[in-house]
Amino acid sequence: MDPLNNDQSTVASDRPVNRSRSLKNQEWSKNYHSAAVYGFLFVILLVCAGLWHVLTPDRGYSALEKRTLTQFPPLSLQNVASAEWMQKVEKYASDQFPARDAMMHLKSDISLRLGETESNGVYYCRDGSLIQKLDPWTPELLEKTTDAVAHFTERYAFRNRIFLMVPSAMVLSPEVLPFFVDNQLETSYLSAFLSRLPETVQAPDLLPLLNETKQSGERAFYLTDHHWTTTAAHHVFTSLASSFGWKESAMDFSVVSNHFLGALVSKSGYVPAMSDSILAGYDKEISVRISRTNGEIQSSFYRPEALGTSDEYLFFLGDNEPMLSITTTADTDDTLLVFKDSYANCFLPFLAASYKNIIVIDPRYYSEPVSSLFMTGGYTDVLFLYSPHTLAHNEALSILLEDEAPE
Amino acid sequence: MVFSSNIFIFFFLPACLLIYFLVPGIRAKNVVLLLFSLVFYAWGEPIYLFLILISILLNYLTGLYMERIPSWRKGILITGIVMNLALLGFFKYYSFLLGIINSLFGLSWTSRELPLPIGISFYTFQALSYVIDLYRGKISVQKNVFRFALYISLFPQLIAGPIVRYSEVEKALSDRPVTPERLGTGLMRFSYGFAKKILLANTLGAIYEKTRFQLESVSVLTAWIGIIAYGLQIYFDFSGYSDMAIGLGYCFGFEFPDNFRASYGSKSITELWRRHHMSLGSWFREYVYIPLGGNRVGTFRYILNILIVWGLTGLWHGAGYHFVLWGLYFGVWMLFEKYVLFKIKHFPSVFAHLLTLFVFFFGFGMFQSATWEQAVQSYRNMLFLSGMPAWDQSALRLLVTGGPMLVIGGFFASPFMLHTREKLMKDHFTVSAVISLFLMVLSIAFMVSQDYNPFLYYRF
Repeated sequence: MDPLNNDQSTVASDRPVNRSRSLKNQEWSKNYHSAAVYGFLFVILLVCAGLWHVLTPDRGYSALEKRTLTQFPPLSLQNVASAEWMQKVEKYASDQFPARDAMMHLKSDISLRLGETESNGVYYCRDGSLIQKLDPWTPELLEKTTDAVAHFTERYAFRNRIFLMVPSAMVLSPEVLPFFVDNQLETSYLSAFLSRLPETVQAPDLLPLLNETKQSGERAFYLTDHHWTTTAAHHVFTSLASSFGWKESAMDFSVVSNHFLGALVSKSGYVPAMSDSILAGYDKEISVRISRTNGEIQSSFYRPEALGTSDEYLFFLGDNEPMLSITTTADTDDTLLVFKDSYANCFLPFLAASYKNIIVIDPRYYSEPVSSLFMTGGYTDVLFLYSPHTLAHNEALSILLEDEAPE
Repeated sequence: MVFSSNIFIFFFLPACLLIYFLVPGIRAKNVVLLLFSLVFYAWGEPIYLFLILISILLNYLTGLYMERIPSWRKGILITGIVMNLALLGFFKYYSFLLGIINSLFGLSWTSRELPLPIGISFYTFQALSYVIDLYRGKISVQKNVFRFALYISLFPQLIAGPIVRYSEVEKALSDRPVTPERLGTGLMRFSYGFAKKILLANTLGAIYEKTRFQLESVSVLTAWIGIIAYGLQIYFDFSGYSDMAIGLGYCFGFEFPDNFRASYGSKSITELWRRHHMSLGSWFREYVYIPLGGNRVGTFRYILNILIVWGLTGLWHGAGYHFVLWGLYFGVWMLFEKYVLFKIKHFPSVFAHLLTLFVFFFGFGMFQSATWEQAVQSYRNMLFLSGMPAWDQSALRLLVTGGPMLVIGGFFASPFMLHTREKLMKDHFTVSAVISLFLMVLSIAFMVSQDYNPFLYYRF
């Protein structure tokens, strides 16, 4: 055994021997000192990154990604033998990487410059706005959902059966989409859905109304978020009020934030051209009392404490809840049952003047049978308010409504 | 474990390097490398640790007994080869073989799908090189079971090559240079391979995936964009992995054979395969082609030899008829080159390059497919036979969003970039160091943020 090559210290003192050897073997580099420095630097950088990784406190929840992050898994022989432990450690390491969000922005930005205008299902549009595309949908789920709505609205008596489907920005503004992107999936879903609803359900096409908002120079959708704006929601409300007997209350509108970065920023990693403002309408006459599922009571549709946080959209009603019960001071005995996704959150404040009681159900989280909602009596009206993003891929609504459908 | 994961880059690699360089003496260094290699292997599928240990023991004993009982050498060698191939056959080709038997005899035996043990094709071939070379007297027997275990399980090249022959590391197992210069130079090579894998292969792979979404309804242009992206992805995935392996091996004091030398810049398929998966090609040449008689036989036998070698090369890449066909396709084309194309004087070189690329990429129609039906569908799509238009909206979109990346990929796969990289490392180390650290940071950013991170070569 050649003692010269056995360990580092002797090697360092006998550099020329090794120099000739590595030269002879494979002439990759002639720069020995630089190579040594580079090697040490490289290892030190990796070690520092590793330490940074370990020493940064673990996060439980990512507000940007809207999900709980993987925690370090407990070690057990069984876990290791089945490789489950290793998989979880890998997930943990990638979830808890300290600068993950910054890295994602860097990646999306470089990809965008190289021509890739889609990231994680979000388009970077020609006007700098971010628009979420609709994933391919199946006619089966569409039929299941429309059938469920039809059965449900036949089974119970309502004065008005209203279905508001908010089209996406893909449909409203095809002219800003990146080159060669079409909105076939979105338009076909909308028309198929609306035409399959029974005639007893009033399902106005909202596209012309959103177009009016757009023509008037206002944004109907946020630049950085998939939701429709308060302006668009209010315009739809006033335009439809007379057909559904809704009362228009006097409202004060004010901008509550100018720095809103919506969910599409975190989803895509794109750095948007500008941030959004959030507009809120405050009813001057009607006050409300909203009880949440956890028993919490609030006296406003809005949660100002969400402003300034990483997810300002929570300003509208807060987190998704299985059920909200809203009591208003409106001078009426009418009641309303709402099935909705988060698109309803900025729309509900306008309805406060028309109903004494509003029960708001998000079927994705609501697990009671639908009949339990009718134990204390019926409702004057029923409203479905949805976006295709939820309805085209989530069967919670049909499952809830078909809960006790006749066989 | 794969190289492009947080665990490997931030924990496994620095820990391994630190301990390896700190412990004194080659024995201790060998122990460190062996332990880290076994952990590396066990990480994904711990149960298969037994498999590699069995393979190690089997080949170690084969070598030992060939030495101890010289009169039985041939018998022991054949037993060793058969057992190696049996292990490989059982874990990789079991359901394929069962399918053949079923269709031949009209049976319907069913098989339980076993997950493919990582790297089994690679380490089995390494082990075979040991027993065969030992029989031929080219190397001497390895009596130390730990050194032999280190040869088989050495983690840099364990799961995706290059296929290192025992003769290439025989001496290094007991005596090798471990110096700071080699650490730096090896890590630099590693970082270039890492960037190839993360920045190029994975990005091109994402483009390819978009073309595979609805295989029955893609336009001709989409199909071709898919094939080009796939071909480039394969090159960067595999050559990037080889660079990482060779670089790490160099850090630890080993000299692994080169693999992938800008193969897409070749003028013929014959040349392309000599520069492509070089360690596999030379393995088949050494242990199959030459024993069969090589080209020192009659024309008919020579043609047969070529077809056998290329059929087996295809089969090595995957258990399926279409992989065998893929190999034979190249065998036939090389014969065509030998007997026809190479006889044409003044064959324009531009045309030779384009023809070579076309033939090679066209073959990916078979290679990329999981099943025979998919392969057929891919060719229908490429050849205007599926009734779809030449291009459509989504093909144009793919061209706009993926086109720049395809051009960049083509540029980095060129011989020019290979030579630039080698020249930089040799003559302008500082420049190269800056570039490599920059690429490392960029690659880490991409690695952390992309979910799309599978090593394609796991399945081989």
